[in-house]
Amino acid sequence: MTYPTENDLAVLKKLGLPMPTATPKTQKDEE
Amino acid sequence: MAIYLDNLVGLKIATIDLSAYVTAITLTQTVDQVETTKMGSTAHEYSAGLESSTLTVDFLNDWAASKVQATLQAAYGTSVTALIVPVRAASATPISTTNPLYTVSILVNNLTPVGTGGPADYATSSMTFTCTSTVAYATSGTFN
Repeated sequence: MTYPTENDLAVLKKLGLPMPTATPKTQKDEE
Repeated sequence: MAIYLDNLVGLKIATIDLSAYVTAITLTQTVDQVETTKMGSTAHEYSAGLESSTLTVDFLNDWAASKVQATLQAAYGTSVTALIVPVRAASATPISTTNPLYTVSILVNNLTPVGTGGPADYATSSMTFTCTSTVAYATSGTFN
């Protein structure tokens, strides 16, 4: 499944958090 | 991996790591059993139907930015992705056959933001989310 989804990104936007810069992924180290 | 203490489960909701606030978590994978009993059957017969899983999480409440309640409130009314790993390492948790990653879409359609607990307790919230996708099971990659 695509990750993160549009809804996941919408949550980040509401919280004012930075958007992931990588292309859609399933299990990626985000640190 | 042998038997282990259940004190390191990792949980991300909408990419946000909420593991530090989880006191209990249960992912229940279920597939409907659809009856296919017919004339001539001598016992009930069933086949697998649609997947209908649930994710139950007990949280310690935290109203700080990007923590439990802010995240869930931002996700309220939508389906977002939940990632669950049995044993979360401090950094770069490797996913393997002995520490698989479960990925599922959950519908955040119920919240208990005020939480429960008495004057002597930490405020907690217990919620059960309906899964709106099949549960993906991965044995490679990393969690964080």
